[in-house]
Amino acid sequence: MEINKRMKFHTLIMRELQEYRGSLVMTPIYFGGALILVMLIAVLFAGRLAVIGQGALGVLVGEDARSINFEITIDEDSSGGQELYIDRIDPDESGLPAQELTIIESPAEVPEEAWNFNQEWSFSAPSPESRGDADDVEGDSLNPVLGGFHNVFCLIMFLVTINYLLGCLYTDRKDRSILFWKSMPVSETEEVLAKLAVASLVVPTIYLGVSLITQILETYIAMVLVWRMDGSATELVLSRVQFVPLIIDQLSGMVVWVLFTVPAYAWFMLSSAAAKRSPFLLAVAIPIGLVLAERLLFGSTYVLSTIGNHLPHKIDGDDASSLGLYDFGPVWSRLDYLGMVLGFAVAAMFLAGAVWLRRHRFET
Amino acid sequence: MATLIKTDRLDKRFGDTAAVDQVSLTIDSGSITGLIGPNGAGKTTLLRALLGLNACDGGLEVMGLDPRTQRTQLQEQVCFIADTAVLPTWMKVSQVLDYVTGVHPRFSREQAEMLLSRTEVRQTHKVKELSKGMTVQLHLALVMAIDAKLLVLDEPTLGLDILFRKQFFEQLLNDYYDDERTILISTHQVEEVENILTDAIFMRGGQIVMHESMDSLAHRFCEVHVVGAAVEQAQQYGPISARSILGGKAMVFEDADREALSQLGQLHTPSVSDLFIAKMGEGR
Repeated sequence: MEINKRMKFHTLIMRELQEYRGSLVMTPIYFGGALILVMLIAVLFAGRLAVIGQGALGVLVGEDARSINFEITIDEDSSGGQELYIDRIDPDESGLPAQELTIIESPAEVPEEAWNFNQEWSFSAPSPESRGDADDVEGDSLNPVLGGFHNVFCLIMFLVTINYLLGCLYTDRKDRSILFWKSMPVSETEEVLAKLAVASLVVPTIYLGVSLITQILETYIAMVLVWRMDGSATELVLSRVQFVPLIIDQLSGMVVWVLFTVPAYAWFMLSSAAAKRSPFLLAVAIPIGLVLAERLLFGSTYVLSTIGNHLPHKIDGDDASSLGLYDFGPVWSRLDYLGMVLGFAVAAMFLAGAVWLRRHRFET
Repeated sequence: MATLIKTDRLDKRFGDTAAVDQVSLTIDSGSITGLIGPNGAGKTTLLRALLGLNACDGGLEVMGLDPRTQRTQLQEQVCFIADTAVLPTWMKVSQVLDYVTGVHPRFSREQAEMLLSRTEVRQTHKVKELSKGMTVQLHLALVMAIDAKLLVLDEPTLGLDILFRKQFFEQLLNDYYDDERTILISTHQVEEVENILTDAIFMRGGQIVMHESMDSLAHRFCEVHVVGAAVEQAQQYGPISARSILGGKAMVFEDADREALSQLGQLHTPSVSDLFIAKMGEGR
């Protein structure tokens, strides 16, 4: 039978996904499933457990403290003791029962619509005006909330990918099954490239896909939740999620992730191919040694910042680093393109080293 | 018969020790060659060099290719079982079949499934659930379903019980071997392969001590059972080995005068195991 390159590569990729099925394929599905399950439970109990449901809703629709108007009143009664309680205010009442209630929050700052209380222990549903324009991404958009979910997916992906890369050229040497793989007409280069493709293309695709599906389902379940609690699902949820920017932001974030992590991933593969005992120790000890040596000898931190540039991290404020966990998407103008290209060159060296080791030094 | 494997002063050293010491060797197609030697003789190192798994010095050509630089192309024509129990334990049998189907152009899945159907191995099994014998059956089914010119087996039956061993070699001979195919088997258990070999190579200390076809073995070597006074006489012909038997000695001779020896006792063709012991004892 003719075996073309594509079929062979597909077989190699499937082999990896079979071996690491749990962490690479099932973990995001379980995690996404768990998030959806929590939301569904919230929907089921929304009516009965209003307090919990509303708390969840508050979190899910991204309410911040400002928009929750708890009415805390202090009643000075005749006995002289102080009593703290929360009172219900009828929206039809034009004035306040001044003798009983002292509103701590200045009523002048609260717009008229906010006095729309119908329950105790409630937050007020902000009016469309107070939420501002739905297209204002920096404003009350729910995209950063969904982006938070996505960032958790990314963090999990990072951990399982490191675990995968450290094991991928090591475990089969340890259990000697490499002798079986080597009895097949597959070159070391094909093997190494297939494994990198799994880490840099297949896994990000799986995680991004599952993450987006989860986010979209969460949005729709949140709408059901709001609807069950007599809120306006369209207003509170749907109009505040901008799907197209969401997908573009997260897709481009993933592209940047892939491009910038390549040298780090290649380094993990080199460690996996080189290690006699522990790929993890090797992968960690050498960079730490370099960072410390640089600091002691020159007092500088170039190595540390270079390494940091190629590992995902949270970007705050004006930090110009390129690869991160974003609230929205990457800022293309801030990307360190020179660092990216140099990263490719270093990655190519590491990969060549991994291929060489796999060919000549495979016995542990 | 074409030359399939050719080495010229092949050399592989680990530090100061020569695991393969200046080995020059040719193996023709259509043969079943036994590479026989004690533990540590360098059999595995030699086989791995032939398969391109070890770096080595000297001339080396397998099916017209240099395994050191053309291992991938070579692997389409050559099958090997490097050891028992190297199949990845996490895989399901069906996944192993999928994999080999996907990467090996000469693999016939139908053939492998047919061979497996005769065993206890099921496609839903994971490799780690299989017994050692079943794992070897699976591996053998895989390599037998590959239409390869050369099959290299390194101690393929190590650790198996006698029933599995017998079945293994019977299957190899009946279902796999034909004039087009060449098999190279290393073992230190001589008696189990001697009936199927066409050629035997004895190896010791990284060197080839003897390389003969079974036909020429029968011509070149003879064993004489001598009793009584004939023992003294037989000693004059320079036996390469002598062991005690009831009432006398069994002596093995190499290139000796058969006419003269037949006067002293009955001539036999020595078994490969006896010959192996004789040759290995030489010079000690």
